[in-house]
Amino acid sequence: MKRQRVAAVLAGAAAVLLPVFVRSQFALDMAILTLFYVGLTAAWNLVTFSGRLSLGHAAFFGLGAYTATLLFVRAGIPPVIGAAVAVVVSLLGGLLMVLVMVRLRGPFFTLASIAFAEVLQLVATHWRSLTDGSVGLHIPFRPGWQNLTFTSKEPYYYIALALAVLSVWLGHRLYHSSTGYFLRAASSDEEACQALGVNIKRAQAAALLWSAGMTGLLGVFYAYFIYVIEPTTFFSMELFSLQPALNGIIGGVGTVWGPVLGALVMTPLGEYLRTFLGAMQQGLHFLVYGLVLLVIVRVLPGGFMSIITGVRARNDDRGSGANERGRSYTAAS
Amino acid sequence: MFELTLQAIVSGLLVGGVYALMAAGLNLIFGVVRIINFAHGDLMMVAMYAVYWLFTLSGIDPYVAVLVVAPALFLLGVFLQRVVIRPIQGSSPLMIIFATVAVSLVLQNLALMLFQGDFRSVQTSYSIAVLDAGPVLVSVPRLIAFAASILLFAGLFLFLRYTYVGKALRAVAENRTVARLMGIRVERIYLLAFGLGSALAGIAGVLMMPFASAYPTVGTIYTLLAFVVVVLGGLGSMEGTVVAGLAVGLIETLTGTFISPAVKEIAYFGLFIVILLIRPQGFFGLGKGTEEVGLK
Amino acid sequence: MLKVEHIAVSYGEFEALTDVSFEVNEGELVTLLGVNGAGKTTTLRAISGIVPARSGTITYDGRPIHKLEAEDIVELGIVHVPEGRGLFGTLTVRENLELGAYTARARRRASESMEMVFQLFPVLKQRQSQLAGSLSGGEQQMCAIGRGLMARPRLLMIDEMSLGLAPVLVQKMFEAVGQIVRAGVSVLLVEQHIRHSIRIADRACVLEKGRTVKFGPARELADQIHFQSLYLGAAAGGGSSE
Repeated sequence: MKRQRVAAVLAGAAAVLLPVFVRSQFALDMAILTLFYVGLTAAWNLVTFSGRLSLGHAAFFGLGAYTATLLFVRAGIPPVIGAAVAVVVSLLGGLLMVLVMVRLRGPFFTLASIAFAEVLQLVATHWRSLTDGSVGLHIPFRPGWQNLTFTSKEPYYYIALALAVLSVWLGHRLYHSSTGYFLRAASSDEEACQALGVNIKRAQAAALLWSAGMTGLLGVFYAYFIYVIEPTTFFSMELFSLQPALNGIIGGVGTVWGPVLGALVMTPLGEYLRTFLGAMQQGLHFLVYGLVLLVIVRVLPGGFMSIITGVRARNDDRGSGANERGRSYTAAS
Repeated sequence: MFELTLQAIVSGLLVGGVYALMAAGLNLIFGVVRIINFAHGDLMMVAMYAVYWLFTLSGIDPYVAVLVVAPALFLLGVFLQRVVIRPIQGSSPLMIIFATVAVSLVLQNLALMLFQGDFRSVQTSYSIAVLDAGPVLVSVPRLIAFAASILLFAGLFLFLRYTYVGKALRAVAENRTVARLMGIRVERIYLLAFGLGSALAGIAGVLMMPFASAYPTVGTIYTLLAFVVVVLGGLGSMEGTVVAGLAVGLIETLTGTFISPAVKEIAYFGLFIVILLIRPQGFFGLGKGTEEVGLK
Repeated sequence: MLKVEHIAVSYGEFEALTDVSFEVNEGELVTLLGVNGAGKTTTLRAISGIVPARSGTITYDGRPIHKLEAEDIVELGIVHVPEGRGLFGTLTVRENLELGAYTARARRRASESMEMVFQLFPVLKQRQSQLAGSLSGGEQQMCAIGRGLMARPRLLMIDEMSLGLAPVLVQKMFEAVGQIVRAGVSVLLVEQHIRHSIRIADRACVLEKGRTVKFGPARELADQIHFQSLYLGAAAGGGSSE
């Protein structure tokens, strides 16, 4: 336990101090993107606690990004306020998905989530009077914290860090709450839990809404990070639906830290491939994702995380960890 | 107005036939192997590229290319079942979704790496040929695609109904343990079903190619489309697939004609979600085995 | 012909069989007895290769078969009519019967076998183009046994043959089994009608908690029928907790 805490403090300090020591813009960009994906993956992961796979989180992402951007561009409302509205709009999108989720499981839910994001992308593309369609919207460059626009990378880094921490913390809280316990129990047997009088649907709705809101907030961040917003990017199935899902699955689906691990490993790897080989070989980045996923499914269904828990379980058998396990049970009840 | 409607209906039914064919492949794989294949549309994409390259490089007509493409897709399906699906069959439905999503990613991005993101289409002598049938104009390649789809459906029905292997496929779809007790080699039937399902997707791709374009992510839209058809028609129901395929074709052309071409996709994905919500078992009943893929 | 020696089977943690032994000779009718959960169905499933035996041996004509796949065991002529009939409900009666003769060996003689089955169960001939799912319980069992016979078995294993059937039909099914045995097919029967099955069986094997507790001529067991029926009957009615 003590060693873990020390490690956490060290990791935190390293994260906070990183921009002080890393002066390379490329490395900083990579760090920002990695933190962004840690946040996005952790947010996506909240839904998996209900045993469901969403491949449509780009919907919430795009809703958040478009709301804040449109408020700024069309009405001059600064994004610090716009972000709050964006979260509300993402939550409304989340409510629509809740309606789907309470009725559907397995591949049906997954398919509906894809279709949901596709529909929103089509709407954003064709509702030109509002969104300027596929041309997209440019965010005017007016530096200032209220506009989430900065002249250097560091502020973006710290915002990304804060969002990542917030997202992971949400996952941690949810996982160890009674809601999280019910969700995990229900993901194996929904009827049985329902029969015990547990309001599973409410727990699932809560998880999905947290996930949608957090994803929307990350959408706002990303829009102000790259200044340009258009439908194929911001509702991109590959970038914001698949990639967090892949990070999560590869890291270890249904755990708190697996998806974090997945994003930490896969994002830099993906960016590296895209930057150095992508120019020659478009598609290589996701090809690698696909191949890694095929291998994971075959040999390591628990993802990277199962390696770590496997090692820890072996240590536990030598005596120290029984306590820890007991604790997680009581935390659950 | 009347002529416009009639035109839309005819075009819708023609393209709907091909949608039904591609969905039939998905449904066959689901019914027998109990796999929801998220890479189904990507198999179609592979076939479309094959047609494109055979035509562009060797001048082979798409309808001749089918003789190569269909068996190749059959083998690709067999390969996927043998190498990707079989080792994880029986594990959680989520894992199997992941696996087929991974296949989809690999195929799409291989296509992107090899052929870039360009839209590719074939210009045959008959690509824009039109038949003047009184009040409506009928596109020749679409008519051929429709007729071929209907013929293939007839063939598929006869195969499933009257051959020993066809009966074995139906038996495995219904109860694989008992099928084994009959001496039916279930693993081989899975290979056959995955191969046939993939070949059907491939043939659908060939039939579409004279009037559609190939690009790496074209499969995503076809996968969704195939699911719309299968869900509408009922998982495991071949008859339902035919009716639903035609219905989806109609919806597409009618909304395209009377509202806006931009809306047609919104229309059927919207419809898809609505159907999932109000009647997830489809309109022709829910086939067996939906528990196994985690649907119930 | 069939020799089962000390087989054990487990489903995950649960040990369904721990030590089951018995044998079936050519042309013989052997019945498996025991309360619910004693392991009768599992024994049949182990013989037909649906579940693997963890230990022990099963030999057929002196050759070990417990490592073979279910599909291969059917080819050898050991045919399992499963509990609950296991008909393909969306296929017709005729199609079900045809699938019974799926193996190459049986398929050659399929039409001949079909005639034989229709002779044994004439009602199936009338119902042949009906969906198997639409048959009555008795007809379904006839169809299931008929389908088993289509495979040209040397050993036919029937699980819970008369479960849920009216007494008249039970009588009919036992007569059919008698005819099958007289035609030279060995039968391994799992039945809840203990008296009835002991009366027609040559030998009986009593299972208790996954092990053979008694195996011998049915006549000897028939002498103890009073005790047995109390013991087996009570449990069969109430169901054991196992």
